[in-house]
Amino acid sequence: MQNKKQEWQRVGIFFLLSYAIAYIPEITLGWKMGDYENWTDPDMLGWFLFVTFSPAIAVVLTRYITKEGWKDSLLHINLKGNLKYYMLSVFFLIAFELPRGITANLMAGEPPFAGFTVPKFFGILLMTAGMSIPLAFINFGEELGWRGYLYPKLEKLIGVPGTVIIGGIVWGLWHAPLTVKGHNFGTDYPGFPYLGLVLMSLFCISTGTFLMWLTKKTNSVYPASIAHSINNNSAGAVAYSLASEKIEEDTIDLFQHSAITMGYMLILAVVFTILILKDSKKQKTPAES
Amino acid sequence: MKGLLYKELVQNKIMLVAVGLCCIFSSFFMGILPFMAVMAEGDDLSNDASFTVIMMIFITVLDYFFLLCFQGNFFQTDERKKWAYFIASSPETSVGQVRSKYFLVIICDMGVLIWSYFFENIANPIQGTITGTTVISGLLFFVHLFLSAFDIPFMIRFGAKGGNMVHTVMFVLMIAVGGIYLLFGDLSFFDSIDDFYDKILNFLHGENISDWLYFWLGLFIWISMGCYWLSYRLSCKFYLKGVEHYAK
Repeated sequence: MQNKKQEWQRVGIFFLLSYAIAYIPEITLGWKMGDYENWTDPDMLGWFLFVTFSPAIAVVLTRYITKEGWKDSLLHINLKGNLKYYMLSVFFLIAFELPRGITANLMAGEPPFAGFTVPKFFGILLMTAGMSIPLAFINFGEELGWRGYLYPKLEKLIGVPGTVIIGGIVWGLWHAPLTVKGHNFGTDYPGFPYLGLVLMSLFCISTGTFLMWLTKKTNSVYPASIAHSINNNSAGAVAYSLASEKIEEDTIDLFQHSAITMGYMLILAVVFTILILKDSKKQKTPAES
Repeated sequence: MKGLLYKELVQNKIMLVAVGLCCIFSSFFMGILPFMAVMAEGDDLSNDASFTVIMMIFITVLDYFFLLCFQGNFFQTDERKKWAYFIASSPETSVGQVRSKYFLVIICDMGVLIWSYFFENIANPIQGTITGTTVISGLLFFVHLFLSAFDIPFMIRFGAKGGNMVHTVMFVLMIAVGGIYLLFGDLSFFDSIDDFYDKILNFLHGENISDWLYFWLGLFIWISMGCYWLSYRLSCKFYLKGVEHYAK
């Protein structure tokens, strides 16, 4: 009981710190700069750096404040025997997002692979996927916080399905100041900005489940950092390399497109939740017996 | 493995600090100081984005160059026959020894990449321009990996001195190839210096890039990763043969 209370306290402190460190500069900048398009000011760069690493800063501060130490920090690479998961972290989300490009073509009344050419598709695939691996350190801050600290703690407290949902919502809403300013889906959609926040949370629930599964399989936050980096820099670019040249950014409703493709993204959440539950059961069984 | 990696970090700490200091000082003196001086005189450099970008690219190249120069010393520190035979007979074997060296090189490579990223974020507000040189830094990461893939097996097979010879030959060859290209190659992209700057800026911002350029650069990235892995496998085979070349 005492242990559970202590864990909740740790989660609470982490939650407050990670949100405060990210929200304060983001809200201040949003108030100062207006829409997201205006945020490309050189003065903003330092703040972005701070915001990106806010979950990691929150982990360090929480562990220091609560005197928790660095046990179970998931900071080991654990490459031995886990190479397949590292490979999966590079290619899975790219493969999974390919239907987004096809859907974009179909929405615009074009053939499914209208924009496919060998140099364009493989060029973007090889270049962005390759570059995302060393650049994964940019997303390491988030992964150390969410998958390396919050998710394992929540799993102990509320179980796997609860972690997938609550963790995803916490992660999704952490992006709220950017979503509200139009970073994720623009600003021109029905129900702005509330539906955007819901969609972002759903997206984070589905992607978060895969990242949680990767982290649990490897006992390391690095594969999740790579997959996160691939998701941010590469998966969308590869998917949209399939899009017809006739499709311009304005002709596709980004929100509508994301909402349509969310259906199969949620399948991802269900499948990986089942896989995590199965693995947990397997791990429990020998100990119980 | 963790123990060996820790040993590498402790053993090479002076070299690591030296690389770090070289990167920090070169970046500060070339990337921040001149801009602060210009700002102190009341001038605005924000309109001269191309100069800033070229300067940032030069600094990034220089950072990787420092690493490549100091890298040979990582291998020299362990060149003792007693140590080599001891580690080969330990549970880690020579494979663990070689692996720790390859990991150290990747860690340093990552260190330079992370530094370039952070420095860009710190320097851009002072420079008044978003340079976007992380792309160049990422590509240079793989160039360094590719060069190290050729470099390290020679250091392991013939000792650090022999490897450094290969190192020097590689530099001379690169300069020679560059020189020959400058003398006889197609230099049309230099015709207008403004066009040249514009092309670099377009590349950094991902605009107007030919699909084939993406394709070849992407292929190079994966080839360099493959070469590094192959180089590691070769070095594991060569390690005990290389011990015969050690002086002590």
